[in-house]
Amino acid sequence: MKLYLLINDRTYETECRPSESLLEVLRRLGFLSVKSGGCVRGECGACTVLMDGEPINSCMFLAVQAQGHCLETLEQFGQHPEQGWKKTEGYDPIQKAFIESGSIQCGYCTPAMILAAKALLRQNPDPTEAEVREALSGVLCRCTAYVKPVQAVLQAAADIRQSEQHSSDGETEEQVYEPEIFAVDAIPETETIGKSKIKVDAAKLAQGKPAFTADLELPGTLVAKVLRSPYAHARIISIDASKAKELPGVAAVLTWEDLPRVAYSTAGQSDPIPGPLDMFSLDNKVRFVGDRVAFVAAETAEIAEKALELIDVTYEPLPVIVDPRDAMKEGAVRIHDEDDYVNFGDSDPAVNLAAKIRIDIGDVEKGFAEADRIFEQEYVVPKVQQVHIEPHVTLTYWDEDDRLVIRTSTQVPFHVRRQMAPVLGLPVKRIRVIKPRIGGGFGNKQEVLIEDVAAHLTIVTGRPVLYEMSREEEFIASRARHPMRIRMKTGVKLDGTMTANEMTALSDTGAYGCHALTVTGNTGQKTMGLYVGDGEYRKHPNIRFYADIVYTNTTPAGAYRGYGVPQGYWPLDRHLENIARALGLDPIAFRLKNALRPGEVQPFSTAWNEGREPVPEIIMTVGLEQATAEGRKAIGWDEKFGNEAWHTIPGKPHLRRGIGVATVMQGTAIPNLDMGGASIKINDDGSFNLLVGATDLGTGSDTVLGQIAAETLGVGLEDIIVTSSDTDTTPFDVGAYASSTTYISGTAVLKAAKDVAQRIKQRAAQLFEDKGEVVEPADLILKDRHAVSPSGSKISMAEIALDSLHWRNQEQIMATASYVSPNSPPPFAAQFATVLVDIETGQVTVEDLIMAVDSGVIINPIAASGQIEGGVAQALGYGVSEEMRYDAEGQPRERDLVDYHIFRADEMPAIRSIFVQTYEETGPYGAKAVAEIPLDGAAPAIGNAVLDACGADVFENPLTPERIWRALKYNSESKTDG
Amino acid sequence: MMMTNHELTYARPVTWDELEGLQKEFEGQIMYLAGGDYHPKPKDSTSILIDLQELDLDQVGFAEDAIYIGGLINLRQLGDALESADLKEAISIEAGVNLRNSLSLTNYVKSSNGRSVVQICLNAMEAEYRLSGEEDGQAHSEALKAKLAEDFIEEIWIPKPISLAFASVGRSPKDQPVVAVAASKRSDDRIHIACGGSEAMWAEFDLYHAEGDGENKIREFYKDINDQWAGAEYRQEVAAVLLSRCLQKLTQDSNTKEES
Repeated sequence: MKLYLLINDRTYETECRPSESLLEVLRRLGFLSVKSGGCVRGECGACTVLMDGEPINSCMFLAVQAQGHCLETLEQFGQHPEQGWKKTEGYDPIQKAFIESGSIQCGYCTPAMILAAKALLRQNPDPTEAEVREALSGVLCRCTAYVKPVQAVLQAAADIRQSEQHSSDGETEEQVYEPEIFAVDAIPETETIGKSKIKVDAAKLAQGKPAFTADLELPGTLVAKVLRSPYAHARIISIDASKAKELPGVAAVLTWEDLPRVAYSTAGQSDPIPGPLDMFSLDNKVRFVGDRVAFVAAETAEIAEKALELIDVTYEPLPVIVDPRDAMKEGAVRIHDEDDYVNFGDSDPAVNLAAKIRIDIGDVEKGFAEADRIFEQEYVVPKVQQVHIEPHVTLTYWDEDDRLVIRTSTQVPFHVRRQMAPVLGLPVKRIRVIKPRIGGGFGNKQEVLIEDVAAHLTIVTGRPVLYEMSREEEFIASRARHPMRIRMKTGVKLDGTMTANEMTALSDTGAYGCHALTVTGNTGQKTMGLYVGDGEYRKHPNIRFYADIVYTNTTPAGAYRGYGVPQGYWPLDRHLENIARALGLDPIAFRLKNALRPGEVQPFSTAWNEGREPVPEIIMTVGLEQATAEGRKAIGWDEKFGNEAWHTIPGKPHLRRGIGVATVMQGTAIPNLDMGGASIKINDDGSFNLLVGATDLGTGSDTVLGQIAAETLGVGLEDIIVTSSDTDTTPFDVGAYASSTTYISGTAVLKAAKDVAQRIKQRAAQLFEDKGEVVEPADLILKDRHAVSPSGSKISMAEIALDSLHWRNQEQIMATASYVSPNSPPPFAAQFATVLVDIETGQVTVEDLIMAVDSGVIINPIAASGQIEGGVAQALGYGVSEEMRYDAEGQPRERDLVDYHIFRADEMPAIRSIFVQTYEETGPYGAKAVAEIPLDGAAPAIGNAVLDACGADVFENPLTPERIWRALKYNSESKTDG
Repeated sequence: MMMTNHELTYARPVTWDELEGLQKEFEGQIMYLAGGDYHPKPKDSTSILIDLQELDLDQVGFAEDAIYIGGLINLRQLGDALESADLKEAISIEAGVNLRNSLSLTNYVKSSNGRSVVQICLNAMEAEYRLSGEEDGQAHSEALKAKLAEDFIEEIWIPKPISLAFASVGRSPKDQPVVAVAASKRSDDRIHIACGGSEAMWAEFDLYHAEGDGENKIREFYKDINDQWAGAEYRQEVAAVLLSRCLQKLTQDSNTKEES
């Protein structure tokens, strides 16, 4: 039928099916700023448009309902200020504020946020912060904690008022975007490093440009859907796909009988994969509710969904294991009984064991024997979801050379290429993987999760295929954080010296063993490694970490930002808090007394390295003490802790305040394993192309790598054109994980840039000589787009470029470098929290979260603080609201973002980041990692604050009202004190 | 406006007579488009989509004894119409701004369950729902929801006074609650209580001054409500707390009004 839509003041005439949603039609018309979050109950808001001036969800209306209404999308607002000879109006003030404030991380929800803000500011030019938060409450963001978007809207409002002279005094209050930074070490002066440069991708994302995987529309593209198992464990007796294949519009249906059987792992990791190969594109057995049964490609999503209904499957249900404690019991059903299972290390599918870890450092039993007191307690941490707002999405097609192109939302393009090659029956050289912008990943896109679905369908049909997971599929069938049951046993002397520390973990990897070994290894390594004890124990710490990682018939676990470490800090730090209180010790002093110090060996480096040979590592920069001191000041610890008056609310005896702390350590890349490459070449105007395999998933790594190149080459960031993550055109990089990009890929960039700089100086010296000034190349400095001689005379970068490319002895000045590090210098942080607990209902309201972080030198303060804020917000959910649960039959309970609650803008506590800068000699310009550490401390700090508020000692997170209430009411959970 | 393709007809009647004609012609094959909905999808039996947006179903009327609300009003408009701070808080828990602007009351009621806090508030206020072509209103019930799968709400009326107190407990300030209680003081001096917090649970009862605080009654409602969200013991205790807070709030509101 014909449809007329008024969009952005222009009428569009289009053919549509009456059942098509407004979202579908808008995207088909090219309004690609309107995104799909795949949500179920309109809860994500990524598809926001303005209808008659109000923000609405375009997925909740059929397109026909919108006829006669005035629609606005982000395409309506603002233009890039530089468009050649054409004068433009520039960015809209809200876009400008989003760009300048660092509000844009992955940028997937940015168009929706800007439109929501637009609607607000039209009605209310001078909103309060609460009103801005309210206006943004319909758009979920997983990257920013809404801190900077709220600031941006307030700033835009002020700017608009000023420009329209609404402000009576003509002055506006400037928002302060920069985080607080304190120097621990002397930091060298720099031009670009340490400056909050605007992200190199901010402009396109603020304009809603078609930058994401699904934004590329190829003619003839088929839509893929996956039939998923309703059973948690069953054998497929038969599949009849004949009716589905006959449905008009269906191009292909694939079942396990159609595909070659290749065992692989979805864990996107370096070769060899440190885990079992236990997954098949399609199998004759299903191992969790949501496991794959068949793939369909059809002309439309509607037809593909209809075809799924027509596939007739006969299952033989098998016994189900949901509780990991049942997995290794005698007689337990075997989840992986296939003959072609490929073991790694100690994996043993006969007993449902995906991996096993046994690490003993020092003499733990002797340490316990020397302790004055021993504390033991069991803790439980839940399975949680990454909730990137852009679902997993892949577009595959054959290019004109019959090479398979996989355009995919991935953190690991090079691993995708290597790991998919055998699965698809193609050599690596016949596959090209392109990573466009990613709408968040948080580890879940370190899985090679869906690329094979679209690729198999492209192979069988010869046509482009787009597969995008729904939000429900993300919950039931992607990956999640490993839930664990962890027992702590700690020996302590009465003065607080730790004599031995033991952690025993039962980790649940779900139906497949992706990341089973390495995630759980981190649970011990980066938590237990922080506390070595004091005195003689510092030199010879006694630490034990044992773990069994078992299969269950639940959604597979995998990588989630923090990679096992948040699971470890809930038990460890809650345990330390209880020990400190039991011994009457100051909780901060107790932690610092036993914590690792500069110049000491990370004890786990002597015993563990993600399935590789361990290499002992001395940690040179530890800013934990300074971080704790700054955080303590910022939260007002000394005024609040132990102050009964602060803990009470006058007139409200049912409310109690509490304050808590947690101290944490992460890692910076995987030593001797993670590798990144970079290439740099000069252009005619003295600008540079920087090609990196590193994968920016919204973290700002393209920007940070650009800053490292700019600093080294003496140019501005705007002179660096960053291209990343295309396996055909950029150098190899392991991808975005393990907090490695700034440190590993950044060092590769630094090396390449130094090589280019050296060549530039050599040519510049020649040019100086032509002008009668003899200088040594080494005496030149590169600054402000010039080579500058000791006398102060200058030659421009453009002149050097023209000389090298056109004038004489022509050459392309360029260099390629790569880097693999023997070190993994950890970042450290102190996380503080204040809470309000309703002791009658158990409801906890988190009021303040302050994280003070030592991440070495901060390359881009606004981008780095955005990482902290967003990470802390995810950790907040881990602390109080997020968990994935299953019933006795293995049916997932949480399948959407209503039941699985992530925080909205209008309920977020105050979140603040502080940096204490150490100078890490091994890092580029002194940098360490920042991306994962914010995930580690908030949950235990909140747990400790709840304990401080009301005495509720809760051992299982999240801290639901009922758990707190039960702890208060019964307070009988055991703590063994030997 | 009427448009057809080979699968489905779309119609946007502008008069009730026109609607009636379509209803007769397409009986049993109609899907009503009653404003915004969660992923609206026609069924196999659907041959016509009837869009109700031109029928003035988004109006609010004020009478002496009640407020009359069209079934296509959205959640934001509902909050604006009733001017109750507690209802606005419930709407805010229920949905962020976009959803409030999108979801019509008809479609909200159709998809509500025991954790739907706005519905709990409407129940406390003894809202009545008149479906299309019907003379009388009916209270909220599972039967009403079932009818809405193939019908729409023409009008909702909420008897005055609009006095409402609402309290809930969830995992975060804007989370769907595990226990929710709403209380509304009625003109005959009754207090009508509605509670929820579990998908399958709807409960309502009246309190009179003579009956004390209703703690036992509300505990009774929750005694078997164990689900993935919370246990019965917890819910019983906390519901009693929330009820007492709601009653206290109603008393305070009442005193404030008397003073002013």
